[in-house]
Amino acid sequence: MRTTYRIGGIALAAVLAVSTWLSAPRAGEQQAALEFGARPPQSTVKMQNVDDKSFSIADVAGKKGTLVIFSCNACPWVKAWEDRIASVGNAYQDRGVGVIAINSNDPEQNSEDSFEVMKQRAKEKGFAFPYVVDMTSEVAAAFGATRTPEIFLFDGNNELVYHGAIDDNAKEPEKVADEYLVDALEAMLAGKPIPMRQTKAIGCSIKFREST
Amino acid sequence: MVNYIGSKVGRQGPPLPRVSILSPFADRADSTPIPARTVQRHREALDCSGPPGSIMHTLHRNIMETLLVAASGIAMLACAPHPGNAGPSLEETPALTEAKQGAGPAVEPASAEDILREVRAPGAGAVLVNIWATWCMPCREEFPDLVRMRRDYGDQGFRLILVSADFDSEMPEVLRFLNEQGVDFRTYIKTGKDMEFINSLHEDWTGALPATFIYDGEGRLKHFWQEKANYATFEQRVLEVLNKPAGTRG
Repeated sequence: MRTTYRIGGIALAAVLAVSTWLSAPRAGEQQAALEFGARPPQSTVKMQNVDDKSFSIADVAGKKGTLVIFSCNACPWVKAWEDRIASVGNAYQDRGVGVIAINSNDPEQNSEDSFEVMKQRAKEKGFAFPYVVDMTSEVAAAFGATRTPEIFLFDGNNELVYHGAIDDNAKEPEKVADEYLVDALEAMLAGKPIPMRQTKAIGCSIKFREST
Repeated sequence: MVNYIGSKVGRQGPPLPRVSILSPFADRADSTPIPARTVQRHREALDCSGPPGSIMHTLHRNIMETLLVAASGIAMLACAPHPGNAGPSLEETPALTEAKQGAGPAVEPASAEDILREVRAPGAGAVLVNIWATWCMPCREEFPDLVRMRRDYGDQGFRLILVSADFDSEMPEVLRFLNEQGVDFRTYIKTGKDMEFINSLHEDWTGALPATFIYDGEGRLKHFWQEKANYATFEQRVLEVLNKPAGTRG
């Protein structure tokens, strides 16, 4: 009898384990993108910054809002937008918005996405905000982020109010017609509705680590 | 319009016909067997790009593949593909003719509307649209399998539409890569605003590359995913849309 229970218990545990495994999010598996109104997931995960200190999203959260930028070093779209990432990030950090850029790419897939290159890039571009490593890619997976650069903006209540691109022209900054992110930041700081809360742009896929 | 055939030259021949498309997926609701979101959710299970290698991974993948194949099978009963047999095809376009004469790959600027017009041009039983870029490593890695698909199934109703998302300034590298891959047919380079282009092809496409779309002969979307795949995946899904059993190559 006891044996039967034990076998039954083992079988049940196995079934539960398999079903949990099947439904559990894994690094590299895309989750649905964060819903508007959601709080930042994985917000207490400490990530190494280019200054060798560690920051979580919660650590940088600003009273007026928090700007989370999924970025990297190697992607040509990131490179095209990088000066704007620096200037917007720096400017709004000064205005009470917490800013953090996160590199979730597996540097094994492209050595240009290494921590050393991140350090050089942050210095070269003058990032006044943390540029950190998502060592497992799990932060990006939890956000449902798929590409670089990809923006998630949370308001002062820590709720997602904007998701998408920086503006509508990566390659030619002088020809930008819609400054999606700046418009969203301004609206948020003014307590107004975001004019266009979901935008898109071509970008590089995030190079998720295969497993953790 | 500028046609890139080795270098910038004026487009030869009459202007391409334009078709007004109010909604690219207006007829999708009753015909798309697999909701794209479902495909997207299962994309990791179906994708063969990663070598996790664990038994559990394989089990998971097999279960998901079986579910997807079953869903597609059911859907195909309700919606058989229509391999058309008339009308112009890519093979007859001036750009390709020039390419065949040894001018190298032809790259033509195209909006999402242009792409969807090519998708709906009669003569194909399955159309695969792949958005790629020269700097995108996963795109480069899967590219030879796409070209091989066209070689293996091009005469069986399969149409391949390759669309580069490179910046215009990268055109020399685009042409170099296409040459290197043995592409001697007309391909495209994306024009216009990103968001409009992305949403016109699929509202669930985030803009990440590579992105692949498979349509049936009537232009109905059957598969969409935004990640690298391999020959086996392309072949399985294209044959499914062509309504042919596996192993019917040649």
